[in-house]
Amino acid sequence: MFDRPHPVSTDETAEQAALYCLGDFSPEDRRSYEEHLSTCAACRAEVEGCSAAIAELALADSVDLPSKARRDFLTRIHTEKADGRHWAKLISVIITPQLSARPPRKKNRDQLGAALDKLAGRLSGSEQELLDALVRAALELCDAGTAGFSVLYEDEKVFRWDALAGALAGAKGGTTPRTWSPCGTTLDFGKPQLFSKPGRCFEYFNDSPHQIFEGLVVPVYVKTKPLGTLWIASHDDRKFDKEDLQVLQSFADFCGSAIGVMRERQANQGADARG
Amino acid sequence: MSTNPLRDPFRDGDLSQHRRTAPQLPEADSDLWRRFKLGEEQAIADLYDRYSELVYSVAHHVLHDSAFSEDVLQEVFLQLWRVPDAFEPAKGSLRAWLTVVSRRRAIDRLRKRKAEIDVDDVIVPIIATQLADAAVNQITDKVSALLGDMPEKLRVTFELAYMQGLTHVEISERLGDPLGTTKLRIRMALDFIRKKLDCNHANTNGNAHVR
Repeated sequence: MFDRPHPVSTDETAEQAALYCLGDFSPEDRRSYEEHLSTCAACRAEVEGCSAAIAELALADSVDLPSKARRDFLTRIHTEKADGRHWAKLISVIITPQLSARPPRKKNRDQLGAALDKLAGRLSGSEQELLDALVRAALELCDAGTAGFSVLYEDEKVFRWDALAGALAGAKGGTTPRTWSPCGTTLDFGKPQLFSKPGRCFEYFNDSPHQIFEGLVVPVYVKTKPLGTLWIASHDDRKFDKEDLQVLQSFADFCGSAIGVMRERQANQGADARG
Repeated sequence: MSTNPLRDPFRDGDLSQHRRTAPQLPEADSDLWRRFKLGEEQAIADLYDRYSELVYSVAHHVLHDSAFSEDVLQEVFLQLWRVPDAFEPAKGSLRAWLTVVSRRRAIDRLRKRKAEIDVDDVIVPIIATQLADAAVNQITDKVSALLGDMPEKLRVTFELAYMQGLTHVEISERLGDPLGTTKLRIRMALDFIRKKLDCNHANTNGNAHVR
């Protein structure tokens, strides 16, 4: 529609500029006209004139600009800038794609099968007993420094380390924020994530006596509802691979199903008792 | 005194003294924009200070509502902050871009507002009339002075386009005029205002030039 530059201003260029400046164009015509503006000096001059007239007409009335508008705007961009910094930090510690690039350790599916069988024997116990057994098995099979289960407490907007085994076992009961933690990020993504030296992003980890070198976190769901995350961490130069992910994912799937069954059974028992 | 041709003349003692006492000229938009693109935090605040009144006023002449106009003000500057490349200096000035974008956003909001009102059949006639009346009543003395001696047909057409954000197609339908006539009247009305504003400036500056 507006492909060739105009050699001079005409009634037509003036009319197009007037309609454009008044907001009359369809989105397609607007895009086409704006492309045309970069090559047509005559139309640019018309737009400058029309927009100046509209601006002066608007400014003819003195307005009381709301004083809080400036403050609100500047606060908003400060917040967005801070969020951007956080996001950049977060991106710098997520190295999930490396999992598939690393040569995997020797598969030991017998060990995994045996561990799952053992866990299945815990279904008659409590959820806590199951989680404790789960993290011990994850620690052992993945040769990790620490294994943990972080339960999501939606109301408090935190994850609580309800089951821990390994170097950080003493931190059981500790919490991390839902909005700013490896567990929260993993649930946000809805799939496993590998973190490298997460203390660079989540500063609260730096207070730990055992610094985390790598952390592999897998989301756990009961049906579609997030229960929390199962994770392993290394405190030396141990790097996790897709075999570790396979083990952890199997445990996470088992755990989600098992806790679903346990809760259903509990609910049925409660209903029977009331009935 | 050195004769080095590369020497910065403003480093000379006399000239730097002169620079301190010379009145400060406002920073050019291009310089302000360059600072903004370099990520200087103060630059967006400076841009806001320079153009917030324009953006708000342009929106207010369409919306006739302080809260909605403030929303447009925030949206326009947030867009600039989030997507600085949305403004391309090769296509015109920052002032022109802000004017056009503010108006367009205000019209979008006005149409959305009208659509929401139109949902309720019972209140449509009353509210629609009130909106139109409010638009007309908002024409202040200064704006009336600018539009006052405009030929009636141009003024009516222009007010529908400018104050109510109607397209030339909608105006043609409402007034029963051919599309070409409506487009011509809109163009002539804006041209009329441009000439009048140029005359006003010329009179203010004591420099009688006519467009």
